[in-house]
Amino acid sequence: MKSTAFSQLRRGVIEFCVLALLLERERYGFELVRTLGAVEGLDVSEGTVYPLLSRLRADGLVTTRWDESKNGPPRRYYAVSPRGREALQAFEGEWRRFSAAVEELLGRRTA
Amino acid sequence: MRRRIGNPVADEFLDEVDRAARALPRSARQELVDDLEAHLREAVAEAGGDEARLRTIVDSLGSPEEIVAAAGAPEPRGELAGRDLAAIVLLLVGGMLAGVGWLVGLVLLWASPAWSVGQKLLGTLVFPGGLVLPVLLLGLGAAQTCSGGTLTRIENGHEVTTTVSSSCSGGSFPFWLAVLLVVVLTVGPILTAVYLVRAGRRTRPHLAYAAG
Repeated sequence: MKSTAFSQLRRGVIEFCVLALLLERERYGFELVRTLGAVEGLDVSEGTVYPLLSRLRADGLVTTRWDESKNGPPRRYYAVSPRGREALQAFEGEWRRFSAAVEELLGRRTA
Repeated sequence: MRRRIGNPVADEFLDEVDRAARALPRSARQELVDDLEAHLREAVAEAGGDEARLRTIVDSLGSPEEIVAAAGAPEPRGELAGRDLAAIVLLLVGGMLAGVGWLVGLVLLWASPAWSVGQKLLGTLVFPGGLVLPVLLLGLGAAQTCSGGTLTRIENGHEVTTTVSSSCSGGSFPFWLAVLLVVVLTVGPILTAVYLVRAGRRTRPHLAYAAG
């Protein structure tokens, strides 16, 4: 059973993983969620990504548009906004520093 | 079971999520179910009749409870940064310090990552000077002095009443207009300040990284 603190940490980090995926190109919901769910080790429940996307949208880090495709139902496409781009960049710097430090400390245990 | 997509497995899952989301605000609940419905439509199309494959896709979504938990997760109530609070206070009353205070508040406002450009524009334009304007108007109104009234004299044994027309100094400003302006110029900045305080609270992790 995950602790609440770690769940919040995971959720915060996964939000940036979503932004990173969208940085490559815009994606529609199903595609984005499935891609994220397939990443080994991320262990994300796909259904939980949708509320996450709602929050990112509400905060202006992500924009959406509807694509009325002829064959099949309309799809909602997600794209990263300039604000989201900046946020991702800032997070990336901190994350690399932080995770490198954690790795180092954990590595010392086995030394 | 409500028939949404037409596939029993998918529809049952959506029903379960809808039920589990009872405690959520209506818009959040509707949005969640709509998003998942769209997801499952695609899933049904992709599974192409293979029920086992559809089951796998539905299972990947997670349980209705954990999905709703993610939607209703209590947001850590953020704090308004000290500097941001100073910005708002200065915008509101800093104009009294020869206008310099307001300018400092303006600089702090635009330098802060807590607000979007639109919010910053709102803080700048409603109204420049903050509460200085209504205070000035009140001051002008108080400085306005009117004299006049009636004058009664005794002339030739009769009472003669003359009315001296009232004259006001300090400019001719209709009273009702002044009151209206004071109200608008007071309420506007105060409401804007309250709005900016609420909007400026950094509540979500990614907001700590998002610049204005």
